[in-house]
Amino acid sequence: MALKGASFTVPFFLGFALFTVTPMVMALKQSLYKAQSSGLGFGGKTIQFVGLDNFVQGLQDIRFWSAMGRVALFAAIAIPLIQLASVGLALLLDAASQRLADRFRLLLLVPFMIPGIVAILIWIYLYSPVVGPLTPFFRLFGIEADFYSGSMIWISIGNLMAWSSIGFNMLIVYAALRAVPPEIYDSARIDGASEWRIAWSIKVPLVRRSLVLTSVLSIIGTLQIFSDPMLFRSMTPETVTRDFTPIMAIYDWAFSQGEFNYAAALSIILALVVGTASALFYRLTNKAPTS
Amino acid sequence: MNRKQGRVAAATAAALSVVLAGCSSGNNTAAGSDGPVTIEMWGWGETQYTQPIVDKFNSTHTDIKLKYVKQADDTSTAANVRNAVAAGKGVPCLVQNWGGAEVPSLAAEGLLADVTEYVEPYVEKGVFNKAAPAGAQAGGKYYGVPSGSQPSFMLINRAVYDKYGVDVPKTWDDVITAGKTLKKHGVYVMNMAGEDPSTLVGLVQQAGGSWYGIDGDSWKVDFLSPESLKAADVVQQLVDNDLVANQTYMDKPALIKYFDSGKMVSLVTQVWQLGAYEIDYKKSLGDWQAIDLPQFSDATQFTTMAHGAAELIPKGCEHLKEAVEASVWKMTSKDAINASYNSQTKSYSWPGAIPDPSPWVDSAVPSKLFGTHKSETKEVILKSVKAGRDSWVVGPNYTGVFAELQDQWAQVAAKKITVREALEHMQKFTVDDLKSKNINVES
Amino acid sequence: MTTILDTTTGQPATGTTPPGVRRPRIRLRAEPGRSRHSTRTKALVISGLVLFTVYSLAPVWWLIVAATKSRGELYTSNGLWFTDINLWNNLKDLFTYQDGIFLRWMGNTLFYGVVGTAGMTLVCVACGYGLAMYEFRGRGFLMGCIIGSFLVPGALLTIPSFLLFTDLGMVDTATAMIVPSFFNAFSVYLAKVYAEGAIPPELLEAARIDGAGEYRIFFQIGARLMSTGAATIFLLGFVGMWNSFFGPLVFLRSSEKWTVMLGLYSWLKVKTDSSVDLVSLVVVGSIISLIPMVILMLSMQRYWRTGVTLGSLK
Repeated sequence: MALKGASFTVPFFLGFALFTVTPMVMALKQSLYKAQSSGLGFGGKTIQFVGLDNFVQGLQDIRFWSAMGRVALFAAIAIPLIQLASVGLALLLDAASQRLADRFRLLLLVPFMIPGIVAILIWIYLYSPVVGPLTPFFRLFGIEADFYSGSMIWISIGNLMAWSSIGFNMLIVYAALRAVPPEIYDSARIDGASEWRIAWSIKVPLVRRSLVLTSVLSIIGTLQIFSDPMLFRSMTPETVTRDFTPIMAIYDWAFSQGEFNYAAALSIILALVVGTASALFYRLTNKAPTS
Repeated sequence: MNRKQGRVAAATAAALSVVLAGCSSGNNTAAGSDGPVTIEMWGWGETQYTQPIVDKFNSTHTDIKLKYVKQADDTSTAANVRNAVAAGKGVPCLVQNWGGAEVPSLAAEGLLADVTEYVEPYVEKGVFNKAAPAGAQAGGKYYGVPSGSQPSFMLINRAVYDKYGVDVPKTWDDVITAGKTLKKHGVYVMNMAGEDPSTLVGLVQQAGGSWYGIDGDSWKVDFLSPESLKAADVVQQLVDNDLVANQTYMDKPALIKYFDSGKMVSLVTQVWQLGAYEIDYKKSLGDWQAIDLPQFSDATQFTTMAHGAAELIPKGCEHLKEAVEASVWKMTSKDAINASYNSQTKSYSWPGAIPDPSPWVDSAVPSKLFGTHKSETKEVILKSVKAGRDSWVVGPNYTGVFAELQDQWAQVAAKKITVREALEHMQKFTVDDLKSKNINVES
Repeated sequence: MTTILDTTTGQPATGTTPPGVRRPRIRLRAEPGRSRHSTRTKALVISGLVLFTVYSLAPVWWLIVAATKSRGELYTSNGLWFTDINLWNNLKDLFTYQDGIFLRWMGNTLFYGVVGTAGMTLVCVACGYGLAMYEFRGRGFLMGCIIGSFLVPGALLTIPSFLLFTDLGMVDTATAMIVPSFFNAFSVYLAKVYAEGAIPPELLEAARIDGAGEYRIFFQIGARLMSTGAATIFLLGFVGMWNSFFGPLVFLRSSEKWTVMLGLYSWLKVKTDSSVDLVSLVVVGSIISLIPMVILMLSMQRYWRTGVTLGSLK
């Protein structure tokens, strides 16, 4: 029976081995080599085995690590805020009547449906200090907001991230809320607890597991953030340098400089950091990922 | 090595991929050995404008056929060529030169094929203009077919210049003086996008300088040459006195609106952009005038920068001779240039590689943009073609150097560092980078 | 948490649930609780929702307005209100540009999306079911592989995958889009937690006692109980495929095989280095490209009404 049970997983793991593990092993191998030129540099390259040299270089790469630090700081601030907004939204939806909730849920999911490229098209316009509507809007309140300026850049990126991810996070948390049998709340109500109190003391703890999941996905996604800062690169190139985030640095090495070996080593370092961060988060929230 | 690795991986994979056996269709369309040779050509130009050229070629050639494969954009073309060369299969024979990439750095990366023996006869025959061949060379060898350069000149909003009584600039010093006057009226004399250091690079080229040079078996790197510093000085004055706007090219609606508004009144431009200005401008249509590129005040003769580009021929292309033949036809034949007509802008692709482009100048001048100054434009363009010089030598690590320069330039445009500081940084960065790649460099 | 889950997840809830009622079976008890919502609370809830909805939808407004404008107006007029209504011309341009290549991209994406996601759902649901319902050696290791693969940056795999696909003869074929998408680690993870939540082991035990084989149990009981979860996996997968951009960019060559997002991207990029400008087509195309997603979302609504779906995630 165990064997038959295991056979359900066979098709997936065959494909997984071919399309994920194989390229990973190839990349791992490449991270141990280095291409060297000679003379004027036009004579072709020789490829040598250099062991862990690329990793040593990567661990000392100040620009890579400052990118990492920058993004980690951003994640530490933005993720809790976005999670908070998602939970708040899910609680609002949960407090509304079923029919109203159904309507709103669909509307709130629209940003999740908007493809990244279209979202970028929209926000380039909205943020534009020259033609966009947001700068004059904030001016009404006496705020001079230039979304492309260096000081605003993280707020602009964070807002874009929030806009496109709150809907999905809300969906998961809301679904978890709906799965709780309402009887649980009734006794609290009989005891005279207010709706606010029920929300914070009973509902939020009940959806903690869903929150852990969405948080970990956000951590993974944020540390690998790429396309959002790329959007801002052309707007504030003096702030968003080509190695502004770890993935941007890796892309720069691999695709604009052709140093794939070093880029592979940096990717592996990044994966390790992301893994450690996620594991730490799980440890802190006291919940192991595998069961 | 990549190749071998791929094979090993595939062998391991094959053992696992029984389930996929039915899916991966073999598409080995082996070309017949005696039929016509098919040359695959990659670029990101819209098919509707490239296909007529391909069709024209195919209808006039029997032994070579061209096939155009459109790419999404320049960066994806770059990534796809690198992948194809690494895989050694499905390598195209002709590739449009993508932005920021130069033949020497791509050759050093091992991406390009040496086609010297096929290109040289054409160069000797004189089908190209004098400035064109340098852009296709690295270390004295050809790695592509020269596509030449576009003549540079300046476009000014004459209506605004006249309104504030500012003289038309002849030198870069004049531009700075004009900028100071215009600034009082809230008008910027030029635009310098923070992501695009081409203003600086262009000025260094116009001054006759070069950041790289070859000395025997070694590179000589000099970002602080007199020519380079002369260019730096112009840029620094423009920045220090707040004479330039910093509109990005990425935010096109904002850029067009801004240029059209009369708040930015001069830009160094090239022929290909004129058609778009004609279509996009509304308010300022008819106010513009093409003028000769401003010169350095100590210049002895009228000079414009004319650093050429090339159509690339990647390593792994199986028909080098035919690829060169097709590309030379595209760059230099009357048929090809005539087939490049764009009905929307009513102009031809600028034939930047040939000695005499004058038959196509008339169509390059749009009808409404220049108003009463239209007739002067043709002269300006042809004068620029004649004055084109290419002293620019590019090193083997220029791709990375250019990316670093972009970052430095952004700091300059934002007034965080001076141009000189940027150049000093680039000097050190470039030398260190060459050394780390084990390439000879004089220090 | 899984123990208190409603196990009748397979069926959507009865259509006419009166507003204010959480679930039919507790109608009587829930109603008094509900009614305690003060008017003030209710007003706050609704205004909160409206505020979030405005935040979500307002940016899309620009897209809709822009779709009605001609190219010249697009750049020079106020972006938030209509000027000349040029929508029909824009639509005509969109569908006739380059012999209607946009429709072809839509068709391609639909094909890759439906086939790829259907295959993915089958493969991943089976795998998640196997991992959740059976004890076997190496199960923990396999689960570790799945979780671990979430952490791998995609940038690392691009070039090796390309070399691999080249050797498999998959570059520039529909296979390159469809087959690799079958093996989605996140979907397996979802399927596993769904299976744990939705299938009581006792039910399988009972079926075994009745003499049913393991595969028959899966198709007749397991798959049926997991249908809500599978629908969600399908939905998320399809959204991913519909928006996929980087894969097609690297693995597809000829523009006749592109996906709609790659096509729109190429149109968007045209303007930066040539005199052609297709932004008005991109804007209209973006809206058209959303239609299949909206239809899918609407048709999925009924699955979500049961309340469980993603709720069993942990």
